[in-house]
Amino acid sequence: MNKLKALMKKTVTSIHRLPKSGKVALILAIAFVAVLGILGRMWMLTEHQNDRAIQKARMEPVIFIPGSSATIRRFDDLIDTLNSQDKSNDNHSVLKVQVEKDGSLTYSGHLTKSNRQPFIVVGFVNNDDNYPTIQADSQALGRVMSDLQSKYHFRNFSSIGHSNGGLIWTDYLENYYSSQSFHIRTLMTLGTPFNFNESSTTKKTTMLNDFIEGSDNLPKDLNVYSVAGSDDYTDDGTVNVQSVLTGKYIFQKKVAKYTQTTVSGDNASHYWLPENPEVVNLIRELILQNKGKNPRNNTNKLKDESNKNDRPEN
Amino acid sequence: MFQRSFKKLAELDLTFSKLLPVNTLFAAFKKMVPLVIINVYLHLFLKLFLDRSALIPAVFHIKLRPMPFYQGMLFLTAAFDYLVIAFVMALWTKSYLNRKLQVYGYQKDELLPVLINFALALSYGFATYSYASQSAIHIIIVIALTYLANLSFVGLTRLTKGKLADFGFAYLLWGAIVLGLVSLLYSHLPKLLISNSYADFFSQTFFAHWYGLLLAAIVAPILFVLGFAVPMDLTAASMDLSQVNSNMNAVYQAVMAQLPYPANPYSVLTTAAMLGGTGAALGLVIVLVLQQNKKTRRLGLFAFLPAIFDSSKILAYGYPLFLRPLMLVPMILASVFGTVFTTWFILAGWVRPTVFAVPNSTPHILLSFFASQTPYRSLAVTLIVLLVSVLIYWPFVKADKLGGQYE
Repeated sequence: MNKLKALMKKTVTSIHRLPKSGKVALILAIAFVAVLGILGRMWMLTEHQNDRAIQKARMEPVIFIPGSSATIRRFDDLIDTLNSQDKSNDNHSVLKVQVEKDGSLTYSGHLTKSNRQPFIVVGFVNNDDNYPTIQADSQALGRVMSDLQSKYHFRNFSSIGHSNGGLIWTDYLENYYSSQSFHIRTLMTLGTPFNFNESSTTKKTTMLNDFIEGSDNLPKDLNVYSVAGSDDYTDDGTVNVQSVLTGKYIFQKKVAKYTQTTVSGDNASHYWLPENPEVVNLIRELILQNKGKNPRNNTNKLKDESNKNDRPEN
Repeated sequence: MFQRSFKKLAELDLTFSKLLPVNTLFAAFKKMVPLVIINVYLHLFLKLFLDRSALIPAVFHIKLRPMPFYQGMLFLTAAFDYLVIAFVMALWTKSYLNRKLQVYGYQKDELLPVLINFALALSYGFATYSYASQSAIHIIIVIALTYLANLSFVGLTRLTKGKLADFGFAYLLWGAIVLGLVSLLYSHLPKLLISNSYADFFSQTFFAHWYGLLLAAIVAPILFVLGFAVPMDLTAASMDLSQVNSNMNAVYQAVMAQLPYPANPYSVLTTAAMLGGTGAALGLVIVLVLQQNKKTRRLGLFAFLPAIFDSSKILAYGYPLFLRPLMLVPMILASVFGTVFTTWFILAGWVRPTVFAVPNSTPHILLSFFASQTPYRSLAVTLIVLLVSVLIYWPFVKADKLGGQYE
């Protein structure tokens, strides 16, 4: 105790012995830290008031849904391409969720939490090409999204749907999406037949009519990009371009931005649409917001490898 | 017993510092202090005032526009770090060779080896520098290579009995071989030695236990004193660690949720063991400020503000801290005390750990106050750690016969 007292005394004496300039510098530095401390703490408090929403804006996954008859491996090539082109050297980690026949969820892969934009692929074992299946899948997607959110706590996300995957997203956004829980930034549909196989815009299918009727429920600040493939001026080999373009009846004037675009050239047929060089560019620029090193090279590589895969899908 | 080991340690430190290579290296460090001070304050100015995500723009609600010159200044200040090392190596070479060759009775112009070693040190920067200034600067690599180059120069001079011309073919060939070998080595440096962030490694659950943190608290000062860069995951408020992310997720699920990893590198090491830099160096700076010796006190005053913002570089060169057995001990003790004390309070539930993300350049002394859910208790713990680190450093500074000697 006596030693401590002596030390305290020594300390006080040492401070007294400090030259005037030293004392001023010391006092200023301590005052600076104190002011920073008070203001910083106040700033932290206001920052964390609405933190649950803001904080999780850090992770903004991109969620992919494949079309009918396609598996959760459907986007593997696309993801490889996007990762290989990523300038930041921080690849997008990939999580895959499969919805089984009985509604249970099977997870594979993992999300690296430091990734700002990881990829999540949601596939459905029940993936027939009809409206009741799309409705059932969109309902299941609601469960998947809740489960994903409870696991990874994100709020913002972007979505990509290939073919009927775009229909599942549309049905989900109209019927199961809640802006209280989520904030969807962008929906990109690739060769999505909003009017199924109908080529005439005057003949609207039940699904299209339902979508148009429910379009008021779509998030108002959503950006939608509808991409059609053109193999022979009328269709992409599977889906009629006109059916894709009927998306305008659902989204136009209902969401913040609706853009239709048609791609042609390499890999513009329905099945290969996700690997089309223009589509890869669009995903990178509109969703990932970064430009790759040399997209042309990579898409050529994709083209070379394109003969190895599955069956056509809708 | 304690007194005896303490005395022995001080003697060992003094004996070590009297070795010619060490003595001349420390002298070179000290000669560079003015440049180091400029370098450190320039870094501080950039990170406090011009970084858009920094604490000062955040708390004063200043919205800085993107400044095109900012990246350029970052680049230049990072390059400045390497330039300082290159100057140290040049000065060291000059004085070491001068005295070493005198021992053998040779008179030589040291300009060529000085230039070669300057280039050797600078090319380390060229080989490892990354634009985002995330690369590690392991000064020990440059010191070791410079020393080997100096030994080979002395060896060549002795072999030829000092008869070769200072800038003759043989010495030029020697210089070319040294630079060639060094370039070859630099080009094969493993990525592990270039990167300064090991988020995957420190994300392991081992570092969420007291023993993992204790090990890191002991190893970090050893690395620092040996001249290795301490990983950024421990020295900066690293939000990339999986334990930190899991904790944050838990808090955002339920405000006072039980955290999965209460003790982790962010909540313990960064918050307590790295106050003012590795080894709770802020404690040392305070001790120096309170010294009677004018020069030591002046060094402490210069180092005070940077140390508040967790840079102990001025002391590393000016005291010096590099390669000092005597200073390694209090650094480890302060680091270990901060770690054990903070972990104990966190695990006992008296304080909630540092969990939230903070603006860049937030001083570690304020980290727990800002980012813990028990700010005042956490601040109290931090201040106790600081006070104890002052008490730990005090006798070592008193016993140190080297600090301030060359100023």
